[in-house]
Amino acid sequence: MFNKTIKKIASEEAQSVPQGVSQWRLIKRKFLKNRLAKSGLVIIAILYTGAIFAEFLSPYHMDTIHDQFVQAPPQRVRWVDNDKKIHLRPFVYGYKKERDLNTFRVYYEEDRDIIFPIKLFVRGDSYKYWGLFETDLHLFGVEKPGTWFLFGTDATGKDLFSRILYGSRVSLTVGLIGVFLSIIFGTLMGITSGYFGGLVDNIIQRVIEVLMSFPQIPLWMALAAAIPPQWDPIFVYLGITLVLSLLGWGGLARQLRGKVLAMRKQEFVLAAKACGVSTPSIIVRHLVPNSLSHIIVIGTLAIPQMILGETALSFLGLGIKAPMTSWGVLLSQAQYVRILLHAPWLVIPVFWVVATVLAFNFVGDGLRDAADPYSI
Amino acid sequence: MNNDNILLTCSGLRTYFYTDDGVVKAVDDVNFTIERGKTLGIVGESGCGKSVTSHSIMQLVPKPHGKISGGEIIYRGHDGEEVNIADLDPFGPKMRQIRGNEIAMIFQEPMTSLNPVYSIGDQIIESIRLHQKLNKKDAKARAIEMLKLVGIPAAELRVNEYPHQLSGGMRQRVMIAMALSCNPKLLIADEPTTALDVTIEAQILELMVDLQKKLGMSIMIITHDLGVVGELADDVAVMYAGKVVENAAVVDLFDRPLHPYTQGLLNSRPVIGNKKRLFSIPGNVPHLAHLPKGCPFAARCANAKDICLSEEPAVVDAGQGHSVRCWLHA
Repeated sequence: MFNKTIKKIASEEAQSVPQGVSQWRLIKRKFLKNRLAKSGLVIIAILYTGAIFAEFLSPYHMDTIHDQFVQAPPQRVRWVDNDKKIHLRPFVYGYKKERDLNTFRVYYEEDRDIIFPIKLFVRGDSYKYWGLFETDLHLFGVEKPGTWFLFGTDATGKDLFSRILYGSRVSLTVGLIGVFLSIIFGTLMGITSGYFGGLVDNIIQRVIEVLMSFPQIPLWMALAAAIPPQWDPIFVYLGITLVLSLLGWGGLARQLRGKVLAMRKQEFVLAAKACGVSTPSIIVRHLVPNSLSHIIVIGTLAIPQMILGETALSFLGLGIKAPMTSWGVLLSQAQYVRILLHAPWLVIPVFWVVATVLAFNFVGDGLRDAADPYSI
Repeated sequence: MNNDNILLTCSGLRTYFYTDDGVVKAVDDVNFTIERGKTLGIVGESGCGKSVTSHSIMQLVPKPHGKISGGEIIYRGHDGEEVNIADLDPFGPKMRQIRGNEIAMIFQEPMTSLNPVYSIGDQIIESIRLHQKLNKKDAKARAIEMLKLVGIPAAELRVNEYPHQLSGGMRQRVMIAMALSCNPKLLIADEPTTALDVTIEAQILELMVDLQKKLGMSIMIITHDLGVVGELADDVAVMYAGKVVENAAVVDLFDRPLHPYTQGLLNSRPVIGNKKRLFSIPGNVPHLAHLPKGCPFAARCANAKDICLSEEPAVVDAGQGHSVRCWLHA
């Protein structure tokens, strides 16, 4: 009788319970409530779309040299012309090249008589999209022989806006690949360290301490300088990522060690052992999934560090080499006060770096808050 | 006693922890036998070595400090083949074959003994597939069958749920289902009901008795609650400071407690309707790394003699399979 009542109550309870909600669904639910994190995610999506479709979105090829327009300032997009007439299609004025007779410096002035209307899907520089097919279609631009430099040109007459888009390919992927590599190192080292303890733990922790006590920039520079300069740029790029990730895994390993130390004492690990589960299987099937939310959060927060690291190295001339470009490479042109005075638009890539770093940090913070969905 | 009926014999088992404070003799010369299909209760207060005994049987003594330093744990498996568990490599395939498959274990804290990132079905399936060659579908069917067996309603739905969606009693049922999924010969229950409230406790104990009848496994139940022992056990081993101080059939023990510690425990039980102050054994358990000379209970014993303080008592046979480790009965 007693048992029957219990069973009846329990079965009523079972019907009212919603179907299994996994940890990931809970995390997603909570993450989507965070507006800052969501907007960060949108910004990141836009930036990566820019990187993927760089050839199509940029009006020029990144290596096209406009020798008539060296260090030209950005051309303003206008709707209203000199005669107060409103144009339905935005346009830019052409440039007139002048020379200052006192300083003999070249400067550019808008030529109010020449109007280049901005059009969608114009034909311009031809490119091979991702090495797949050749085309000369660009999303927007002005028709030849007109020019439109949205962010101006650099000292060799290359369009800065196009170069920022092309450069984002390197800058945005360095972080991803670097973090991926350092997550692999860090997870392996951290979980091994925490689970086995003893001598293994001691050695790994001391190695991390040595790594973390080096001043970062000189160590980066030393390692980056060790990459042979005659290497193919793509290998230099991979080398730089490897350098960044080799020095970046310590923090993750430390945090995971702490987490595993707490977790290995928990009874579900003991229960798994009592069921006859092997050690590698306990690590891979029970410890890693329990730390995964933590790993992802740390990973997301580490991406901007990597991006900044690449930017710093390239800025110092030790990073990415031509013909590849990155935001750091673009910024390295703006190292001199003279340039900052005469061509301040060369600093524009900084805003891309800042936007990326902020967006990743917002997403990382949002993930961190959401990663522990049971704590409400 | 027929030898074939004995599932597990523990003789002279010593499990020591080598710590900075010295050697902690958590389990020191422990002897008991578990018969097939019967239940052995191990009783004692916190820190007397109950759990370490069970962990020794599973070879789960925490490394690197803990170690089985002596004695034998003879296990007689399916075909009567004898294995000395104490000699096996804790990480070897033979030991893993025994864990879960031959001897299974449930724990005190149902809240933490399930992995929060997997559904309960996945966890039972993992355990089944470790020891049995079943494909995923069959293993899932078996998991649902086990959940039904332990009385979880709507098992087909519950199987996909996560531990945090279940109550403590439900989780303990899931743990039992997982432990029994491979038809073990021995189920070690380490204070299975301590974290549960009394009504749920009654249900879980009833379930264990029920399952023992159906599946015929032996149970080793570890508890500090004499009521649980009285309900479940056939034989009882009372432990104090790492030693078994009294070993008897359950009825005999309640009728004729010989060791002063057992008597103290029985007197400390609350009796409903009795409003007098509850009896308690004076003093504290001695630290296991600094055991006094003689009988470890002597300092708390009302009947202690001089010899109790100077020499350790030996095991005395009191007839009817009742043995006690005390000078008063020597």
